[in-house]
Amino acid sequence: MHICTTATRVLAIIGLGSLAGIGHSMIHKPVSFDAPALPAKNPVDPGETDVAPKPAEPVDTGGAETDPLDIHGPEGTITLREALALYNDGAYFVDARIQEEYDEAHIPGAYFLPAQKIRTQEGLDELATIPPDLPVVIYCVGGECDASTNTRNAILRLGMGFTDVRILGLGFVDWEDAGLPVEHADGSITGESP
Amino acid sequence: MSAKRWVESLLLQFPLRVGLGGVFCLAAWTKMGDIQSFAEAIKGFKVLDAKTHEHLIINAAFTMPWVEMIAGVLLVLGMWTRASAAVVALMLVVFMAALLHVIFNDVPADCSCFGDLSVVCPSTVGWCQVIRDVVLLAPAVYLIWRGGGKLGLDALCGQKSAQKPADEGFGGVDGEGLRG
Repeated sequence: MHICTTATRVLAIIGLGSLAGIGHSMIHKPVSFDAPALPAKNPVDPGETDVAPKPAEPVDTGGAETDPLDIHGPEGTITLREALALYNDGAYFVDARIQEEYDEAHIPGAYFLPAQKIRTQEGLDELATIPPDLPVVIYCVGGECDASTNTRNAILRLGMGFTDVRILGLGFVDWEDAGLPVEHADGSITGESP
Repeated sequence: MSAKRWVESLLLQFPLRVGLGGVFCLAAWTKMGDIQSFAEAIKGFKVLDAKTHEHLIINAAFTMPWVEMIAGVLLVLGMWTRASAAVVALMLVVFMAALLHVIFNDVPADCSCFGDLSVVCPSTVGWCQVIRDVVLLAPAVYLIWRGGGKLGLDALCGQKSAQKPADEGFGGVDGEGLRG
């Protein structure tokens, strides 16, 4: 009898929470995983939900498949070599990892702008300092982490005119392991740009 | 006997109730502030295919924080303590299953357990979050077993109903059902 009472109350709590959640969804702005439509200049096909950036430069992969710089990440992302070319050309880099990881080490000059921060005024102010017509490269830990995609979608949803937003397919760990430039917490920079 | 119950209520049940309820209220509040991020975090766990179950993930992102909030508030108030502790325990078990799925499948996922706050553990999913959930599960199980104690609305309502024997809505020592 008492167990039944408790079980009924458990169901009541879950039911009430579900009703509140449904009500919340009706007054909240739509939540979606789709990538927003992009300005015409953007190399990404607006119909695709995942990233499909064009390569930064023609990539010479002949006989260098094992070179970490040429390892391809998830479909539609750029390699370390392509990211490095953009880095050397002065592209803006955005770090989509968590604060502690960014503070510990990051690509020199990279902005700390994960999706959550972009949705704050502080993030918007910081994003506004990036010229929207220049390439932006987003990276996270690496592999198939969603943080980069979430950040890219958050940037594009703002409609601030960004036309070239790319995702580094591997990630910061691979960038660091490849001996590329890394800025540490003490301000020192290790690695070099070949 | 009654003095022992009071001591237990003061030293164990009340702080555990308020602590566990507070943690869940905080977790719910941080998630409600950024539902988009929470939905993306659920998607990142890769438990469900986002392409075929997008609506389910989005509904979970709206619903879960509210269930957490209601259970948390009820725990703090000491109302329906056993039921709310059971809901909390159920959620923790589900969270742990999802965390283990992420860990064993080597999915690089962001926990978003407390929105963009890092409470005890880093944001990236790892064993720390599993241990944290086990630690939170212990007081939840204790509260299911012992109830909310003397310092809660359950006890208050129980005393009133005891004065009205016709009211059988509350049966436990502290005014709530399911005796330990």
